[in-house]
Amino acid sequence: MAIAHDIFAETNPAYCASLLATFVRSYRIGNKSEPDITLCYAALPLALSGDLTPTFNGTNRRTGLLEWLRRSPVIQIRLAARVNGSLDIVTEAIRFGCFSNLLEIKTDGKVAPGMSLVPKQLRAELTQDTRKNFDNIDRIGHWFASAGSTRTVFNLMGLEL
Amino acid sequence: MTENIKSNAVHEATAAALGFYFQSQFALLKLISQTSSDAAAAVERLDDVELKVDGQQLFYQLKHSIKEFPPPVTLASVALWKTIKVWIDALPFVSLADTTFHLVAVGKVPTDSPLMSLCDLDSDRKALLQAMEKEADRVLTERSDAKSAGAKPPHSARAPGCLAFHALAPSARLSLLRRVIIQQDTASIGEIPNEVAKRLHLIPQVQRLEAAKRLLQWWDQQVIFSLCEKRERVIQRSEMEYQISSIIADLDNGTLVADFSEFTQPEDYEPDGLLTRQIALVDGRPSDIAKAIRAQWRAKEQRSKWITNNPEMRSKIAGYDSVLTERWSDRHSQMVEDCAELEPSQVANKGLELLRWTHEKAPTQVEPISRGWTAHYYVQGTFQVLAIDLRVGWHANYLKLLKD
Repeated sequence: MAIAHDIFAETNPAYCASLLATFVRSYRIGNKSEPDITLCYAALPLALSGDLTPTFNGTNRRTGLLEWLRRSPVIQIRLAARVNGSLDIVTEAIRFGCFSNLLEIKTDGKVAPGMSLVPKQLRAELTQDTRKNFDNIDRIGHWFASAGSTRTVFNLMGLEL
Repeated sequence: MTENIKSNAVHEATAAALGFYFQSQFALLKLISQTSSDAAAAVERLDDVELKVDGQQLFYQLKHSIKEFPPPVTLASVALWKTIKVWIDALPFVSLADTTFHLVAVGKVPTDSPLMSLCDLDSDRKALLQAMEKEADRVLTERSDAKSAGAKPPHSARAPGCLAFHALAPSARLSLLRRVIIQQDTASIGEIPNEVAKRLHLIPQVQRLEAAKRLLQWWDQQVIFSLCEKRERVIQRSEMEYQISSIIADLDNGTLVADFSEFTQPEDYEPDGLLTRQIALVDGRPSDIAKAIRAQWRAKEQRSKWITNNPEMRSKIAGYDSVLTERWSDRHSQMVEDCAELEPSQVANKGLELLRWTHEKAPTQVEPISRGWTAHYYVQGTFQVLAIDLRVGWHANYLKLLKD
């Protein structure tokens, strides 16, 4: 489906790929392995959803997925639709991430950090809201990593693989 | 058929029909009031409404009334004795210790009635037992006296209940009464949607009543299916929760809020050059340009807000863009045909008409992006967004003329 320029800009693949690279790195710190590609499809819509931003208030890397969901049950309302409706955005972001060496897809379906890093000066150039999205996806990476298997993460969120 | 036909007095069944609807709606109200996820409800099985919660069974006999002054519940009530009969019939199928029997009435219990003890589960019921035994004896004696005298026996509606009560062992009568509760002065059928709405805490307050109505529609269908054996007799709370989630989804899709109707673009806002170039091709006036810029800014901001709140909106926005493109295409292709023999100034005029159609008529002629959406700026401005992408244009040859 053709995407108009303004909508493409809001969900631009470079920005979304940078978010995913942040996610993959934070997941690896907590789990000692890379996340399955399917987890990217849950993590990115959560981080991109401005209406969920207040649910991250008062959380940190140690809060955990279950506690976050328990504090804000609103997250799970229409979560499946939110994830399904964002498939194209995540696919574009992974594709861009691989082309720009921010990400690398392994043969076992895991996503690893690529040779390139998210530029450090990027953060300084971002708006406060956008910066917050990077903080949020960093937390999601830690929470997913410590929650257990991919299936467990999906189960906790009431989603089916 | 004329509308205002009064119901046929002979076959009048309004109260009976409403009574059944009340059963269905009351069952939903009870189920939604539970906190336990494994709760379940059934309608018209062992009782009017049956509820299972944490291993306990709750049976409800419902006495609905739409009268302004609903009849009170007294020892002489037909409703009471019919209820007693239903419960005694159900006794062989239940564990009395895990069961409570509820008589739910829109009417009240008179304060001096021995039945008041049934309004409190922990009260002593021995005085009530004596009063009920006395009433049952009176009914049965008066019937047998009339029979002996060759007259028609009275109290025929209450007789089966009195007989069944009489046939129970005295200890069983007391055991039954200890499990009985009367809920008096309960909500009537018209009040149930509001009562359900009060329990939909997850949904924003403004949407609760609408959600309650939709939930009741789904529920009624499930109850009918259960009676027709098109589904299981028992409806689980988890099914209801899933349905509430779907309703929330529908409401979210159906109630997009117009955030920018009352705002105009900042003074220093500069639109994309293609917006003005497209309008210049059809000799648009300054007023056409001003309207286009204002609408484009509002639509752009609206689209941005939707998508930054929820990335799922991208596919909805893109889908509606395609709808608008198609509606434009139908008109533009026809216009191209009409312009084949025209002078350049006439071609430009035709194009200006198309541009003005997007402003004046399209917002009402094209279906809205969501149910109930009425803000015109979204259609007007989105056409300008699409014009910037050259997916639409006003001049018959806009693609050729704008080719850089």
